[in-house]
Amino acid sequence: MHRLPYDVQLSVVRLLNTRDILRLCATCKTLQALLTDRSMWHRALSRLLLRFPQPQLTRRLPKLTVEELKHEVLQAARLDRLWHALDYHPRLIRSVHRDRNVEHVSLVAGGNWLIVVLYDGSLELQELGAQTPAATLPPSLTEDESVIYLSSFVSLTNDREDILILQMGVRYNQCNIYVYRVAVVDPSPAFLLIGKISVAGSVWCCASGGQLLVYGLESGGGDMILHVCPHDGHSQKSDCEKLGGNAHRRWPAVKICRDV
Amino acid sequence: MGDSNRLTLVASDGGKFVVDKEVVQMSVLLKNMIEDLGETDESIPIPNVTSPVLTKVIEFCENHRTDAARTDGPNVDGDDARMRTAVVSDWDRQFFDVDQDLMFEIIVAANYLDIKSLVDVGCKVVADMIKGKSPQEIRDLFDIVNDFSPEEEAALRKENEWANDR
Repeated sequence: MHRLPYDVQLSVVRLLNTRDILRLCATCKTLQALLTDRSMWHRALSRLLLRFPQPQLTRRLPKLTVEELKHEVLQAARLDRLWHALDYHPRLIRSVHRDRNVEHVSLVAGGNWLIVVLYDGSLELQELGAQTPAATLPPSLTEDESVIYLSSFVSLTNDREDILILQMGVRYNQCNIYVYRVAVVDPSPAFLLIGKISVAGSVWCCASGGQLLVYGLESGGGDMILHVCPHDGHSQKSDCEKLGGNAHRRWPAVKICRDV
Repeated sequence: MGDSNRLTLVASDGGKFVVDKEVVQMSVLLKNMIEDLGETDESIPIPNVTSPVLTKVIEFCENHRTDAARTDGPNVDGDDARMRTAVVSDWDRQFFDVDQDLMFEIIVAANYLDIKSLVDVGCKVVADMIKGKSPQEIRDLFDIVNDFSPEEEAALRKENEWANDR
């Protein structure tokens, strides 16, 4: 290998998979130096992105350093290895106990934090390794509401990770959707209620993205109407628009509305 | 007047080879040289390549002279994809079934003479030799001296742990 010119060595390396590259470059210092070649990792990552598109990463590609490129490629190879390992089984890494009944749990912040919703609607935020919750929130639900739904969303805005959780409390034909922003470390672990939306009728689902909330409301004819509103959705007056084309799904029709 | 379709190549040790111009032109380096020289009877010296290596290189070019449309311009990404998927033909594998010194010398000569198809095949053969081997097996294969200290090697092994198991 040493007798080959650098460019030819690189051509050989380009034909190898990530594991073989690491093994070859672990033989001696001269070959180890190949690992600092940006074009090699750039090519490897570009190839991966063709198979597994990640538009955000593709946009950042020209600006990534050798180390960042290498990190992404190695990460992918490691995941691929785990994915294909036949003897891979889930392994219990932590169990969390609560005295009261748990309604929902959700992993956030890269799986390092846990949001627990208790039966009475109180919320707890706990780091996975910690013994006790870092933040708790007493029940936000009214007495005769029960939690039927919780979902968490991570929305990336301006490189800042925003964790939003939505909690849906139901009482007869009335539904309250609570929107919390969850801070994990910055400035300190906390739940911040940023919006509460009261909806008359049966809400079947809700989700969030960016600054908007969307929820599906059953209409009289058995259709589901999707409503879109800001998180702090003050007004409940709907300006509906019926969309065609979804006739043979589970719902006869889906209508998109904007609450103004 | 010599045969205008044939040229004489002279290896570094003085060995003379009379070869068809068409075959010689598979080398981008020699192709450009011939164009610069124009019509000439003079032989072309190849100072970096010995007779045994030049014999092999010419053998490869003679065999591949009829290959369909050789691409001239580099089409980097397309080549890369083709290179990774294409299988080395039986003839090419037999061709490289030589001792390792000669194998590397052929690739170095092909790179110097700029014969893309021969470099590509050579790289594939070398890559196939490496695939699936541990660092120690690769060292044994290519006589690579391990110049890492025991500490450095332990750190490397730890870092690459996931890549070293089978």
